[in-house]
Amino acid sequence: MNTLIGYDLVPEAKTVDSALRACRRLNDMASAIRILEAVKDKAGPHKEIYPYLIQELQPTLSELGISTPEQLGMDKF
Amino acid sequence: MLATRALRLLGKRAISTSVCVRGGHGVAKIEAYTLPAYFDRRENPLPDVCYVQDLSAEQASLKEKEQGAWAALSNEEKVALYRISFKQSFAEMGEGTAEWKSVIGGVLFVVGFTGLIVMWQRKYVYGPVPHTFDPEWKAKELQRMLDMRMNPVEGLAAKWDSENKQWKK
Repeated sequence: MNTLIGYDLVPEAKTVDSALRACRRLNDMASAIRILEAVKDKAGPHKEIYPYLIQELQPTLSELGISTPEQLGMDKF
Repeated sequence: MLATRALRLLGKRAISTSVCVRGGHGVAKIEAYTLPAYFDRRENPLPDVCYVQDLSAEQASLKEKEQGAWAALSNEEKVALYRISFKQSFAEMGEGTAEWKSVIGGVLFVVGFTGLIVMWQRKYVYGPVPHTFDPEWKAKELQRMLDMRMNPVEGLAAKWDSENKQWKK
């Protein structure tokens, strides 16, 4: 996952979907939220990428019960 | 097999299962800096270890709850789980510290201290200034410069009105 974040790209919805499911298999909810934060950070100044990704991932997020960082209020300090 | 036999001769020590005993010295102490460390970086979102290594009782029970359906967790519990694994969120990582104030303060303090040293030096270390700096000497110097018309076009003597013996207005 760290390697994927090292690449100069924002991962596709499919890839993030697999990563979130992997977190579910490992019973690691914190990593799932961290991955969403990291993907948002990867988009950099292109603010429209992250909402699109969340829109694509919404079925998975509801199925697994993962909250986005925004829903938990973690995008503010 | 041999190692465990040797252990019994040396006396009972607690070791992990796959360590060999060399020369009767026992097990090398594992230094903290050799173990994987936790650090918050944007480019390394998932560190090798969790932030909180020793869980309290309620944190342990929260971890048990994590094994089940995540939809059953409340928002506070989710945040608590996040804080067990990670120290700072991405938002908190990015914000600046107030360190620059200490740096500027420190720099100005050191510059001031240097100023004190320089003033002390001027008073106690250096000897008197040469006699050519006396006001009378300087006046005679200036008169000499005007008499020989130094820089008459655009410089010193150009500004001097020699008929009225004063500076040009």
